Amino acid sequence: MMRNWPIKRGDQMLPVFSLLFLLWLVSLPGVVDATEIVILQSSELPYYEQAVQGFKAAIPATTRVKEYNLNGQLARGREIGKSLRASPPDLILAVGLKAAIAAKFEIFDQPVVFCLVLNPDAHGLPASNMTGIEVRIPPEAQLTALRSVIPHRRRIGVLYDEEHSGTFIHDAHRAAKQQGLELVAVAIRGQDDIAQAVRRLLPTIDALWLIQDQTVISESAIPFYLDSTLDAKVPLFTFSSTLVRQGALGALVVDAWTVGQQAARIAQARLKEPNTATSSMQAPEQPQLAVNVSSAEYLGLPPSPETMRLAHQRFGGPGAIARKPGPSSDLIP
Amino acid sequence: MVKLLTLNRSPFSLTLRTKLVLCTAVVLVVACLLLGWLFIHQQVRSAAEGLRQSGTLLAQHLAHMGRFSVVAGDTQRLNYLIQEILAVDPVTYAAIISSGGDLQAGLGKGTWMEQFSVQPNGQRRFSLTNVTWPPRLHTDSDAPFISAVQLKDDRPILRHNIEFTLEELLSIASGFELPIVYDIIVRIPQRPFMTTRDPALGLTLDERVDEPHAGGIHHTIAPALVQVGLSTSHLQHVLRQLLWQATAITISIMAAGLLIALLWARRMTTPLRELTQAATRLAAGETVPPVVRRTGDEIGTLTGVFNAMALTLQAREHELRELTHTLEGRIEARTQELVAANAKLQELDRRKSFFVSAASHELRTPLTSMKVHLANVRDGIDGAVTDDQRCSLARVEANLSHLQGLIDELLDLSTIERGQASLRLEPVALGNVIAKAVEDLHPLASERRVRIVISLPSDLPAVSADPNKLHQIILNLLHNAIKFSPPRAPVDIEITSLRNHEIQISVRDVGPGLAPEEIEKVFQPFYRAAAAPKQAKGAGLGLTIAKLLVELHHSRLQVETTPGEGSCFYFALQPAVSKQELPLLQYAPIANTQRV
Repeated sequence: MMRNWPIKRGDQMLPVFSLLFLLWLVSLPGVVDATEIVILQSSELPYYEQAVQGFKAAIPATTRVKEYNLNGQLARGREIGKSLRASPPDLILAVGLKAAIAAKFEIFDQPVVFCLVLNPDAHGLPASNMTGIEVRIPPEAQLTALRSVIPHRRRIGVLYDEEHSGTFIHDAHRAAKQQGLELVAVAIRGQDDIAQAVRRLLPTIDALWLIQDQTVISESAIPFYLDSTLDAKVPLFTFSSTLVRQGALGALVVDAWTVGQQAARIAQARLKEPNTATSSMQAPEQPQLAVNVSSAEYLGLPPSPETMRLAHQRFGGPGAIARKPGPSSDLIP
Repeated sequence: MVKLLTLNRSPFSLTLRTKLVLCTAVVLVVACLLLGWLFIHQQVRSAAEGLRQSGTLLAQHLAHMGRFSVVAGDTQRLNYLIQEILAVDPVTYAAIISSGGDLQAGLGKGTWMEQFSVQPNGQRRFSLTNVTWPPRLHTDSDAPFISAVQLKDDRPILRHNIEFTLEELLSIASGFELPIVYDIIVRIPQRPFMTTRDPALGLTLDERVDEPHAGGIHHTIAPALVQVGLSTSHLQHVLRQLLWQATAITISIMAAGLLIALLWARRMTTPLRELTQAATRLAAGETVPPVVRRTGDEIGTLTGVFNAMALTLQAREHELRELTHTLEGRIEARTQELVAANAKLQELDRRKSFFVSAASHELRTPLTSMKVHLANVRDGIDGAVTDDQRCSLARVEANLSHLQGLIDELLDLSTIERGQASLRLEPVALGNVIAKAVEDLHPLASERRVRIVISLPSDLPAVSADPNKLHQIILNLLHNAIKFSPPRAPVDIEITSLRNHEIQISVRDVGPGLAPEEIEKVFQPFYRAAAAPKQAKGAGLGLTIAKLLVELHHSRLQVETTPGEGSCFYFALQPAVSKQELPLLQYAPIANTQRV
């Protein structure tokens, strides 16, 4: 049986309005912000991930982000770079050395921001369209932090390889002089020179400063530094929270998440002013002070309340510092 | 019986007690040796393992203490640390070897100090390195590499087996000390750094363009190894004491076990032995007192059952003895009665034979006279006789002849049975005797229309027989065959030579035959077969006399018969010898002889 309902004009128009409203909602982000950023990540190391997370947390939520992982393969990075040339994004973030090199080889016109690259100079970074963040904290900041931890020590020993860290040591000398410190720098050519250099250096200095030099720092040398300095009761100031955890007195360390956020700020600045030709490097912002309280007590250098307040990371665990006077206690790792 | 029971045992059989003791001893010895060996083996392994663990701890301690000195090349400190390790008693040497096998520092005690030598290039060398290098250390673990080294002629030799062998244990037990050292090699530890959340350190250690996979965990290659030698001298001393103690304990347990087994076996076998003795005496017929029941187990139950059985047996034996005694008396009385009856029967038989003989003699004389007078009357000597009278006289004469034949047969039978028949053996030509008998029976055969068929071999020898009695035998057998043969039937008389050179005479007819139960009865006097035709006349003495006469010739008359098909009577005679050698035999009937 057919029944003829009365048809109202408003009922006929409701689906049409709804469809139009949905189309408006979908097209709204494109109208607001069409920025596209590609992230090239060298591998899946946690600190790379932290940097990426920090970057993504600092950019606007409307920015489109595409992520590519090189899985440690430079060739893959170059292939990705070639594909990006076909449909270039607004900006590329390269995290790690291989991602930065791939961007350098394949991206010529688009702005590139790279981070977490230890020795950019050694690999021809940055290029003209690239901006980066140093991993090394400037010597001034490191010496300032060192002085805050051990304010009464003046003679600071440091090992370096001229090839890797000549410029850094040059700046360090200048910074030390400005801060009233005496920097005793010993150049080494290889890891075989470490033991002898340290044995000669330790009796003459008040503290040993380890810098990020790939000749000075090796897995076999690190325990030697820790053991020798503790044996000689010479404070060890480093760049790594891991070494502080193992018994070094203190360190000024970079935080990957913070570096990611810094990269996001650089990226936003480049996007706002794309024509600005800046190929300079920036120092990492907001480095964190790490202190091992147990080591400080063992060395007779209790940290001041101010230092404790400034320290982002405090360690007091049973690392190498658990050594106590007497030969038998050396069994405890 | 006792002797029989004793002799039934094999000289190699063992008593139950011996078996029990032997079995228990074997089980004890095997168990004690097995347990003792397992105990010693376990103790040896535990002691050696403990020593090796101590050595491993010492080696790891030295490795840990000297790990930085190795990096720094601080030989003075390393030697100091090695001297500290050498202060521990079982440590015989300690050395720190680089990853290339070069000696960085090392010292030893006694003979082992001589294993450290200075090379022409000025470097020191540890001779054991040549033996144990390269050590099979696991690259991913800190597990030590332990081997056993033995000094022979002051030269270290790597042993294939880290444990002591049985021969070595025996040598240790007998007081020898083996120059065996446990060589323990450990890696100098280097802890990997967790740099996954430390970008500064991670990048410093890892950042290489040509490094495809940068990792957060850094595994280090051991730059050097610590090698420590532990003397097994003290271990061997402890093992020697342990071996002797274990041996003494094992022997004590075995001795105690054997003693217990002996007592136990004795306790078990004593009641069995008493039971055996009692059973032996019971078997010999002796009266056995009840065996003492010592235990309540199966043997006790067996003792009780045996006692009950012995009582039952003795009671039954008593009853049997009384019954035997009664039976013997009854049998003796019965035997006496039978002897008396037999004597009475023999006397009656003798009187019967005498009566028959006497009666026959007495009947024969008047019968002969009657026949003579009858013949005279018949022949008309005493006057004329009519034909009817002659016919009657002929029937009387025939009956007289029949009566005379019967009396003759009775007389012959009586004579034979009384042993008065004599036998004159001489060579007899069987053909003549048979021909005469056939001729004598010709009227009867003609009357009954029976054909007599004679089968004689051409080279028939003479037989040793009494011709008259042989004639009578054959006559009786042929007469019997003709009498029971149907008209126009053949009667065969056949002579054959047997393999034993005897001459067999057989007479075969196709008469009614005999039933199986009649075969023995047919030779009894006056017996008539059930199937005999009614017209067959005779007293039933022919076969009896023939049988007795055959037996008089030391032969036996036998019969083969098939009911409805006929019978065959046969006997055998010896071939004749010279006449002078033939004895005069007196008749001794076989039946009578057997009866006597």
